[in-house]
Amino acid sequence: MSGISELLLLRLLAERQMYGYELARAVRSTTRQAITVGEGVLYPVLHSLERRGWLKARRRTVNGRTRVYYALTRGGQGHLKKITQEWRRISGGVNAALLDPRHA
Amino acid sequence: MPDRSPHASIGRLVQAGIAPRRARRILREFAEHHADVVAEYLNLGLSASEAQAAANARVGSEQQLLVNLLARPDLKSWAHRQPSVAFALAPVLSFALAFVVSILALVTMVEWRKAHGDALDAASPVVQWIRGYAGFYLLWALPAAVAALLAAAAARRRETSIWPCVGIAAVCLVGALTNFSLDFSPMSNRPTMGAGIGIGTHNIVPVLLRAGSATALVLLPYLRARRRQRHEFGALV
Repeated sequence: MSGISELLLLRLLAERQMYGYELARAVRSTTRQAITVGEGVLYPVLHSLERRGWLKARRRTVNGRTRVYYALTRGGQGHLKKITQEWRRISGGVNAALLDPRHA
Repeated sequence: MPDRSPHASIGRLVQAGIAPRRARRILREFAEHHADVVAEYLNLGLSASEAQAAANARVGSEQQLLVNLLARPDLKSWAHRQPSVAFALAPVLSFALAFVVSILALVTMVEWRKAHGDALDAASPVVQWIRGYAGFYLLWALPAAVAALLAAAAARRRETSIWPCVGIAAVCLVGALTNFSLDFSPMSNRPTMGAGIGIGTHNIVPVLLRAGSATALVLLPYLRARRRQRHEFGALV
């Protein structure tokens, strides 16, 4: 599940920068409630991605409240491309097996 | 949601090797997230206590967050993964660098004063100042300051290994091996600065005494601080 969380978070952040609460909501809504990234998982994954240089964090004050906004770095874009291809390959294989298990 | 003291949670994360700044940031973001969820439920018309309970159920416990954070080795700081380099080798190299930079600064200052027409004889204020303070700074204050900074960094990170103690002793020993002199040639009355690092058989006892006293000066407060931290942490967990 950690790989899926990474993929979803990077994909959402490729659209625009967001803070943790926004990201958790965005994951729920874009996956039609199919996937929920719990807050206990969200922050460890975000900080891990930041440590690996794929995200950068910046504290900003919006409407009187300070929030940490995450944005994708150039390295993060490259990593997203790589794991998206990997995900497509795996999900394509699983789908093929589900459709016709005799050839799996 | 914050089901334990933030101090204890930060202490637990730092003890496990997460950098103090990151540990504080994660817990602050988590608390802000919880506040956002409470606000969301309040907007839906729930009472304050209901909103709090619903947010607690949705966001989960800080304990679970800590478990997830501690399970990720990639969040551990470089200093935690390489304590011998961070707390022993790097401080000795930093001291050597600071010593060289200080000498270069003194030489630059002397040359600058000479270029501006200062006579720089034994009575010159610059020479008096160097005679009065530079030796003390280079031979005592600088190694003690580097060792104290190392001790403060190690205590802040709640480093449990022996390496900060090794680093403190190594910095103080290298500091004790340094020498600095400002002499005047009897013929020209011009100053000659000398500085270096080394040991000879004639001065081994003073060197060891200097290293030992500087080490004790820094190491004893550090060990006391670590002991106090252990007691505080034990009481909070």
